[in-house]
Amino acid sequence: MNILIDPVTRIEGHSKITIELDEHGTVQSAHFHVTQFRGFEKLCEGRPFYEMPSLMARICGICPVSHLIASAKACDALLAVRIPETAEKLRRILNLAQIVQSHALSFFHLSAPDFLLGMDSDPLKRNLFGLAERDRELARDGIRLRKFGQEIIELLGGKRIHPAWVVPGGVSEPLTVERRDKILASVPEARDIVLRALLWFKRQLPEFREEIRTFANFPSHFMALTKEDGGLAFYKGWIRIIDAEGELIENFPAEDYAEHIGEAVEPWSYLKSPYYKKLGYPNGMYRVGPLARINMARHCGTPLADQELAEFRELSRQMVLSSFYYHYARLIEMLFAVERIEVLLNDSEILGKHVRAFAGPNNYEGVGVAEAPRGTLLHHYKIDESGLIQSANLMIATAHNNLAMNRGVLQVAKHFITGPSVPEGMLNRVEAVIRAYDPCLSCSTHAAGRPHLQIELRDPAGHLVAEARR
Amino acid sequence: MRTDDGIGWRAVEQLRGHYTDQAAIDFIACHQLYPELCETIAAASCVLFIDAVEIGIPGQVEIRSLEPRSLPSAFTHELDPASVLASTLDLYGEIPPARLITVCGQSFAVGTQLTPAVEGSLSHLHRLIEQLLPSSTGYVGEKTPSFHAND
Repeated sequence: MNILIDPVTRIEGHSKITIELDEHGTVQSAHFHVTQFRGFEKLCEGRPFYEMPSLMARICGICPVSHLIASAKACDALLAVRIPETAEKLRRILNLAQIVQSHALSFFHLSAPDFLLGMDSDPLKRNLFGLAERDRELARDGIRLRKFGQEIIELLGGKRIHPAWVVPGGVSEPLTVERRDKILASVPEARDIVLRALLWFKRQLPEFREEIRTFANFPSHFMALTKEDGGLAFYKGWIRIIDAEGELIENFPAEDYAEHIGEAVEPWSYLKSPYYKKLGYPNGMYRVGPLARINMARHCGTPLADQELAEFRELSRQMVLSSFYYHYARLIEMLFAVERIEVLLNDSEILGKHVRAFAGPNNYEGVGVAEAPRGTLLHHYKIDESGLIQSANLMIATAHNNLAMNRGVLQVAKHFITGPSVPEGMLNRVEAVIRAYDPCLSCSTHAAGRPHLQIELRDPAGHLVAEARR
Repeated sequence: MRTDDGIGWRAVEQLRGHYTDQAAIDFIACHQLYPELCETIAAASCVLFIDAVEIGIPGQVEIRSLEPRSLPSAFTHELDPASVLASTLDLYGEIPPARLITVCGQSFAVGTQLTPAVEGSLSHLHRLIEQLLPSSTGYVGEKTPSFHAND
C-alpha cells in the first residue's frame, strides 16, 4: 500500500512524499521527491562569467542574495582580486538581511501555524491567515520582520528580489548616509520582534515533546562555514564537518570541496544527494543549515545571540540532534543577524566610496561559498580564455540535507502512521519534518486556505483501496 | 517580460516620474502581491491597484471599487488585490478605500515592449489616476495614498 502526499505544503517549491506500507499497514519505506527541474548548470554554459551573479540570482525568488554572493565570490576568484573592505562589509549586510527575511518567512508564515494552532488543527486555518485570526500580533511581527530584511535588501541593492548590486569584484554602488540611517532606525524594532518570538517559541516547546523526539532525531555529521576561531560564519571561513559528538572531522577551504563531498543521483527525485565521501553513499549523510551552524558555533559574536546560544547548549551535552530544533536555531540566527547588521552599519568604513576591484580573468576556475539561510552554498565555475563559462557546478544548500530529509520522513512516518487509516494531523507531521529543514525547492509556494492533498491507499497488487482528497 | 503584462509596471514608473515632489504618495511596482504589503496598505488613505487583464478590448481601461475577499486559492502565490485587502483587514483591523484599474492586454507573449494598443492607453490611464488622487495642493494627512502595480 502507498500513501502519497502531493504536494508537500508550506515549503518553498514543489515536491511530494510517498510512503509504502506492507499488508499489515506498517511503514516500510518513505521518500521525499523533488518534482521540479531547473537546469541552471547547463543554461549558463557559454555565457560571459560576469553575467553569472545576475543569472544565478534567478534560480530563486526567496534567497537570490545567497546565489548572488556565492556566484560573485566565484567570479572574484576568477578575477583573482581581493575586494575592498567596504564592499565585503556591504555584502555581509545584504547576506544577513536575507537571513532575516528568509528565516522570518519560514518561522512565521510556514511553521508557526503548526506551533500556535497545533499539528492536528483544521488545515483550512493552518496558514498565515489562520495565525492572524488567533494571534494578530504574532502575525504582524512576522510580516514586520520579513519587511525589515526585504527593505535592507532594497535599500542596498535597489530592489528586494534579484538585486543586481552584487558584482564580480565587489558591489556596484556605495551606501549613502541616508540609507544607512534609515536601516539603523529600524534595527531596535526588529531586535525586539526576534526576542519576543524566541520567548514565545521556547514556551511552546513542552507541547511538542513527541515531535522533538521523532522529527529527524538521529546522530549525523554536520557541515557549515566556520570562522577560524570557531565562531558563527555566514560570509567567509573554512568548511568544517563535525560528528554527532561535536568532534572535528574535516576542516577545508571551499576550493577543496570536491575532495570531501560527492554527489549521488536517485531516479525518484530531481534533487541530488551530496554525501561525505569518506563514509560513502548513503552512509555519508550530514546536515547543514541553522542547526548545523548553531551546533558548530563556539560563539556568535554578538551579546544577545550569545546568551541565547548558551541557553540552546543546555538542550544537550553534545550536539543537538532533533531537526525540530532547526526552528530554534533559526531564531538565534535572526537575532545574531540583526545585531550584526547594526555593528556593521556603525563601522567607520561602511560609507566608503571604494567598493569594487576591477580586473580581467586571471584564473580559469573559481569557487565561491556562502552560508545561505538553508545551509552551505557553493558555486564552482570553469571558464575559457574568453571568459565564457565552460561548466558550472552548484551545490545547493537544500541538497546537502536531502539524505537527512529522506531519513527524517521515514522516521516520522514510522512513528505517526500505523495502519491504513491515516488522520490528517499525522500527514501534517510528515510534512512538518520537511518544513523544519525549510527546503528551498526554488519556486516559492505557500499553502493557505485549502491545500491540495491526495492520499491513495493501494493494496500490495497496486489496486486502489481508498482515496482521500482535500 | 510578457509584453502587455508589464502595463502596471510601466504605469507606475511613469507616475513616479511625474509625481516626483509627492512624498505623500507611495509607488510600488511588484511582480506579485505579498503579505508584507498589508502593513503599507493599512497605513494608506487610499490604494489603487493597476493590473493587466486578458479579456476585453485591447487597450480598454476599466476601474471598479474593491471589496475585501478571502483567498480562494491554496497558494499565497495567487494573492489578488481583494484577498490582500481581506488580509489587511484581518491583520490591522482597517482598510482604506481601494480601487482596481485594469487595462486589457493584446499580447502576453515574451517581450519587453507594450503593444501599440496598450501603449496608447497610458495617457488615458494617467488622466484617470490624476482624477482619483487627492488634490496635490490640498492634500493634508498622516496617511499616504498607495499605488500597487502588478505585472
